[in-house]
Amino acid sequence: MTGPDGDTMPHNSLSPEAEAFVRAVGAASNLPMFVQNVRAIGQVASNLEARVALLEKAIVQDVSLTAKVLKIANAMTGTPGGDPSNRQQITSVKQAIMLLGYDRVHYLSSATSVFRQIEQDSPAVKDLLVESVLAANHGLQLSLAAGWAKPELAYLCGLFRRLGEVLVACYRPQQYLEWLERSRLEKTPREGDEAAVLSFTFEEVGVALARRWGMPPDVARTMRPYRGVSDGDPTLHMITQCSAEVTRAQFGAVSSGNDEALAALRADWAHRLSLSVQEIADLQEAVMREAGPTLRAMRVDVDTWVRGRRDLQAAARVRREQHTAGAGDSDTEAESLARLGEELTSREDDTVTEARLRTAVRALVERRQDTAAPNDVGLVTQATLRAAHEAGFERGVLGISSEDFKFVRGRVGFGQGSTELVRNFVVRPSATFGPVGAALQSRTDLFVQLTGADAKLYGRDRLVREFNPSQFVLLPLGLEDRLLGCLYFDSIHESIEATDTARRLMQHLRDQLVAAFARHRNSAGGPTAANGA
Amino acid sequence: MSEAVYVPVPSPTATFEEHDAVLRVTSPQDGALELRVDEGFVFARYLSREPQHWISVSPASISAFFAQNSPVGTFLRRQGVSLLQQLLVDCSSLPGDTTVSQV
Repeated sequence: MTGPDGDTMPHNSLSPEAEAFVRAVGAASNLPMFVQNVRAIGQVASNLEARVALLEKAIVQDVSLTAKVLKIANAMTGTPGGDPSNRQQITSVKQAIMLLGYDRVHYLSSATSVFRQIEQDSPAVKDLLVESVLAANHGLQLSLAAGWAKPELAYLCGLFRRLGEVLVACYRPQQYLEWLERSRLEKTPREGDEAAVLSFTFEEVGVALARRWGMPPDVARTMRPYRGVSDGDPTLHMITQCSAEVTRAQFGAVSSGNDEALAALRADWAHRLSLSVQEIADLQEAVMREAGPTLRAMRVDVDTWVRGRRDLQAAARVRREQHTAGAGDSDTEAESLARLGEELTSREDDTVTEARLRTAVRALVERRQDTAAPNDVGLVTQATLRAAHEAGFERGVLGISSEDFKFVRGRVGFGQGSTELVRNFVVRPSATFGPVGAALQSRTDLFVQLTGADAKLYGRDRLVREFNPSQFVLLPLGLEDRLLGCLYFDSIHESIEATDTARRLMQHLRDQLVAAFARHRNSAGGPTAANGA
Repeated sequence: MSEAVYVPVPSPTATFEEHDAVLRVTSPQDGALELRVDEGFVFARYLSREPQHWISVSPASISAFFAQNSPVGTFLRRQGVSLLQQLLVDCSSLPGDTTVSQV
């Protein structure tokens, strides 16, 4: 990101909108029921024994919380190097509370519950936290390389550099996503652009809240972009800014996302910090290693997360290019359908699978070209699923996004056990969910044979583990900036020949379904009309 | 959620001992103190005070360890402290201006 010309906002004045946001943070208006219940324990129970009983009762009602508390307690009983046979096994929440202490279990279970809600309500937050941890570790390593005396302070400043953005993503998730989508279409997004959506900047509210919470002055100071001068130690300011920019260029959802831009950024900061470009590039290995313990505590699989971010950036680049090209594109739908129709004429060298897919797509395209034919999403859905079945896939599901777009759930299926398949098909479109979630988040089509490296990568995915296919196809259904859902087809026994032509035809098949949803939405007049289709 | 405690940054004369996942800090002023990280969250207990139970440490306090380049900050980082996550949890679950313990 580049900074706007001129200086930042006056240090102590907040716009009314920023003031309102700062007041709203910490209002604790929407606490999970678990936290509301356990907060009241101290008021209704006077002695420790009664409090332990009430806390235990609250925890055991939540299976994942119970597992977590037991896991922490059992980790406590094991001494490294000790005899495992002497290890005391903790099997009840009550034992765990006695071992860990009431306050600790109270805090850990409440924190887990609160953060689970934050993740659900604000899907972008976890990615921002990971980016912040990486920026913090970059700051630490950079200060060591530059010989700066306080590497832990550099870590802290890197961690909080984007505090305002994190809080907006947490407390204004819809507005944040709106800004994110806008920014992804910009070639060079600039710090401060978010004011067009929020009426305040991340910097304004971040600095105000850091001060309100008693954060060290250097943290608040380095939240402001460095523009050649600093009202404190300029080296710390440069280290923080460099770390934020390099991390964002590598992993950010809003990023120019190419190696040349990253190299230019490193060259610029290397010059300012009197280091070589290679010295800055070489920090990355230590950054990832040192960030490991924190990312593990946050339950983040680094490899999966990094791959998800790369896919997201690649998809954003394509959309940016399409957006730019689309501005001067006078092509009509009729013209593009006519071109597609030509591509779909039968070919002698088609395999059986290709021929069947070609016929199915052609029928759907012809239906779209027939202006008198009514738009019937149900019919197109059935035709799409039937085409996949005829192409050799044993099972399939159409998944549709929930109204808040946080989950994709199975809606209609085909094949053996399709009712169960539909019921169990639940994916969160997020890299933190696993490789399938990452593909949905980045709108990446997957054609996967579960062999070799792909078996290792996708075999870790919860959904893939549960469905246990030998090969599968995942086709996200994206309309403008929204994920409407996805198509999932798989095979357990049969091997389906996946040629480039077959893949392209399946993508065309998906596009016809998306077009049907788009026409349905336009006639129904709402962005979530697909959910009701 | 139970109130977080503010732990002052140990003085330069303090001594530090690591026992597995626990850091013991001994200083003439405050006696012995232990710190540990569970699931990214920081807990402390004073061995010289009763009751000796683990209580969560406020984000402002954790920030001060890092700001002063204290060995406590290095220990917490290597144990996987997730300070930003703790800040979000604390400010989401404690009411109004008492969200994070003040320095």
